[in-house]
Parts: sequence; C-alpha cells; structure tokens
Amino acid sequence: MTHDIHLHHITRVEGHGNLVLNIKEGRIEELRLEIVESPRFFEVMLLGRHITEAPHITSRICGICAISHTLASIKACESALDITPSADVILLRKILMHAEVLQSHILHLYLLVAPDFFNVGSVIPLARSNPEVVKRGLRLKKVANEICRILVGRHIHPIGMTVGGFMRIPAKKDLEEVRKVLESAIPDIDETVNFFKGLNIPEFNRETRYCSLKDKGDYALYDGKLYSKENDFTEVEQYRDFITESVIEYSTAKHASSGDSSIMVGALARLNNNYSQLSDKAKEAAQRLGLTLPCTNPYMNNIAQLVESVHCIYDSLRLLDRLSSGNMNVGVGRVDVREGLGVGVVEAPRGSLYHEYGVDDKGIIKSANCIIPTAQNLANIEEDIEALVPGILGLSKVEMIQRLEMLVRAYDPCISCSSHFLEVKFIE
Amino acid sequence: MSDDRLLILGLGNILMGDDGIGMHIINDLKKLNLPDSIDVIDGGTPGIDLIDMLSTYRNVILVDAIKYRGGDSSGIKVVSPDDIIYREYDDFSAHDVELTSVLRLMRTLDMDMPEIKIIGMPAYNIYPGIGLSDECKRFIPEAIEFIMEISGSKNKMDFM
Repeated sequence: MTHDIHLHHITRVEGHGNLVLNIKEGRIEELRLEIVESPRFFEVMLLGRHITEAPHITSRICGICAISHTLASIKACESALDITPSADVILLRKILMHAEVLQSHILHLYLLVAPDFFNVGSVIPLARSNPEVVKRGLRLKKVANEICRILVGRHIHPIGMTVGGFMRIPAKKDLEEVRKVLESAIPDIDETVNFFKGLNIPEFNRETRYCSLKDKGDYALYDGKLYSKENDFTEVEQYRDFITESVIEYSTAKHASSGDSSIMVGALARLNNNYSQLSDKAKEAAQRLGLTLPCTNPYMNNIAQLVESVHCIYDSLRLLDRLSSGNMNVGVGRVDVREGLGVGVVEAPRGSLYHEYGVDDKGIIKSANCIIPTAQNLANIEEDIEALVPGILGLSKVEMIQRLEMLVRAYDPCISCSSHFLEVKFIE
Repeated sequence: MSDDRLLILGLGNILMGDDGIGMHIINDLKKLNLPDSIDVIDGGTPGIDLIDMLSTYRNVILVDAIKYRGGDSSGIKVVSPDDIIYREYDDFSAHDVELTSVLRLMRTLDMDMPEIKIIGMPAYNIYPGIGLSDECKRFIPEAIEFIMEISGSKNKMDFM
C-alpha cells in the first residue's frame, strides 16, 4: 500500500507548517515536518539595543505569549545586571504567567481542538452549531485578559512590567477585582472539564524525554531549574548542557534534543515532572478527565492543558493571598548597567522559553539567543509520527490525515512570527 | 458598550517592517491633542483578543498594513469589513486570526459589532526588522490628516 501525504499548511495551528509523509508498502520512505516560518531573526533585532529595551521588543514576538516573552526577557536582563526582584514582584509575575497560560490553553482547546471532536473544519461551524461552547471559551479567555489588563495594562504586549518590577503598583481594589474575575471563572472552568471529559482522545503511547522547569516550592511556570527525569536538575545558566539545538535542512526552525533523545516540552511534560505540586482542584480535574501520570500519550497534552488551566485559576487565588497586605514593594529601583551575561527561562504555555543576552558595560546587547518551545518539540513530533503511522495504516487516507493533524495540533505548535496582515481584493 | 467613545486602533507587528505601520501612526496620533472622547490604542497583534477590543465600542477606526491582490497599491485605501475577502472555506487558525476571521466569528455568534472603518496602509517591505521603508513612511502624514478628519478631530466632521 502506498500513501503520499503532503499536508500543505497544517490547519488550526499557529503559523505555517507542512507535513510531508511518503509511505510505501507499510514503510515510511520520507517524513518531514517542514517549518517555513521562524522567529529567530528577532534575536538580530536585539543587537545594539539597550538591555532595558529588550522586554518591550520581545513582547512583540508573539501576540499569544507576550507575557512569557516579556518575563523571560526581564529575567535574562535581571540576571545579567544582578538585580533581585522583591517577593511581591515575583508573586505578581506568577499570577500573570498563570493568566497567560490560562488564556493560551483555553484558546487552543476551544478554538482549535474542539472542532476535531465535532467533526467540523473550524470554530466557525462550531459557533453555528454549538454557540454556547464557543462563548464559554471566549468568556474564559476574557478572564485572563482582564487580569492582565488590571495588573499590567493589557495582555497583548504588556506595558506595565519592566526590569526590576512594575511601572505601577496595583491598588488594593485592583487585587480585589482580580480575585472577583478569577472567582467568576470557576463555573465555566468546571463546565469545561465536564465538556472535555466526554471527548474521545486517540490512544497512542511513546516514551520520550519530558523537559521543564522544576521548582522546590510552587508548580513551576515562572521559576525553577531545568529538569528531566534523565538529567535531574540543571541550573538555567547551564542550559546548553541541558538542551542542544541543531539546524535542519528543510526547516527554518532548529530542532532540539537533550542527550541522545528528542524532547517534549509543554503542559504534559510539566505535569509528568511536577504533578505533585498542582493545586488540589487541578488534581481532582485530572482524575475526572482520566489523566494518570506519568502519561506518554502526546494526544493527552490537550487534557494536560485543561488541568493546568484549572490550576492557574485556583493557584492565582492562593498567590493573591500571599501578597503583602500593606504597601507592596513592586516599584522599579535604580537599574545600574554592567557587563554581563544573563539567562531567563519561563514555562510559556507551550513549554520552556529561553532568553539569553550578553551586554557590555554600557548595557548594550552584544549577543542574544532565544529558544522557543515549538522548536524544542519538532523532532519529537516527527518521531511520534514515525511511531504512530504503522498503527494507523489500516485507516483511510482521510482518517490518517485527521489523526496526524490531531497529533501535530496536540502539541499546540506556535510556528509563526507574528506578522499581522489583511488580504484585500479590490474590484476595479 | 461605550456609546460615545471612538476607538482608533493600530494593528500590526513593529518587528516586521512595514507591517508595523499602524503602530507608527498610532504613536504619532498619541502626540496630538485629540478630543478626550477618542481612545487611541496600539493593538499590536491581538488575534482573537480583538473581540474584546472591538466589542466595547460602537465606532472603530482600524489602521493596518494591507496586502493587496491586484489593483492600485500605491496609496492609502479606506475599506469596510465587507471589502475584505471572506474565505470560501471555514478555516480558522489562532495565529492567523486576522480581522476577517474575528469579524466572522463575532457575526456567527451574533455579538454586538461596532461600525468599523479600516485605513489600509500600503506595505512594501514585510520582513523581520524594526523600521519602515521610505515608500511606506511617506504616507504617514496623509494618513494622520485623514484620520483626524474622519474621526471628527478636524473640522468637526461626523464619524463615517
């Protein structure tokens, strides 16, 4: 049996990627996940800029992960300049990371994944047949946006966060508003768990190396050391010992590996590494959703995203309680520049996000490196496809394509470089 | 929904050359003494979050780079949402959530829609890099003049 599958522009993923798969008599002859867009040029734009500009520039890399890029950048700057933020600053940043993870996961689950389970091509027909489902997703997304608006002006390209702290200290009433917004989301997130509980996730398992941050205290999204079961802990400054990037001929994004293995990053990797630190409500959700850890089914990354969404809501309420009750210490102190090298890593919605800057004694960026989560997952996706295909050869080509697209989509790849465009046709 | 406020919203990515023209115009508009009833916002690349931005206003002027398919690409175009090509298929991808998809979703969900006027700025160089091409830059004064006029900031003209 021969299949020649060429998925040009995989649908419902962020950005443009093609999948080339050539199967002859049950054997894969050719397999390529071609990435035709990449954000790596953005590093060049940082060269020659003052280090304090970096968070504002990198916040523009992605409209979906703007908080993550901003915070990875801020952490790299603070590391290079030897600045230690206050406990309140860290707590507020953690709440903002939660908000971003929540909004990104909800966007993926409701707008991109849910149509698969209704056998429709996109969220548009889903909005026609089940408007209440889509509206619930939009309400949850708005919750996260509201939190960012209250704390840092907005979610897209946040303007309130900077090296050292926050441009504006949130008032008590702001924090009360954040609490109200979070509490208002509880019925919808609970209903979301019920909704996804009933959906049939394909069964496919393959062991790989799960990489994420891991912290001693909290479930690691903002801080921690680099971790995989095989590598144990690695300091973020030593990230080159933990992760290796390589150039692939057919892809404008590099591939990544750790040791001799491809790696998986993102929600499922984090849950595999840090499940015990989830909030009780998130653990309860995992149980309701049938997610048992460790889990080696990449399709379950979607379910892991939902479990993290539950965690983000409940853990944000806990973090709010930990903020200073009196005047918070979140203002920006004096930023003294010096020559140095700094690394900042956060867990963006799709996985570990690395920023590294080298600066001279005037604070001018002389070197920059940025590793995005999707690039880290690409080799792993290819290996998953290789392992998956023999088991689905009996399916029709249409069903095979659907199963393959669902697999790629389960990783929630963010391929593109954020260019925003309108296409207009003028009738002359 | 705000009845009396006008939103002037710039869209695009300043890291992608001329794609960021909307942001540059917004930054210039912010320096002008516009009436208090006008909100001028640098929207960046909001994707689906555009819904939240649009749904709180009755009148919106969007400023964005436009990629033309045929026709005259040498100047500023003013278009309505209906002028934008609607895809023949029901595709919807998060990053690709351009204005058409967002408007389409809002309409499908029967959400309140503002009156929208789109100022399409000709984009010549869409490539990673900060800064506009000279060809693109030369249209900024004209665009600002025009936005001032249709927003009622000049000559007290009514919106739309």
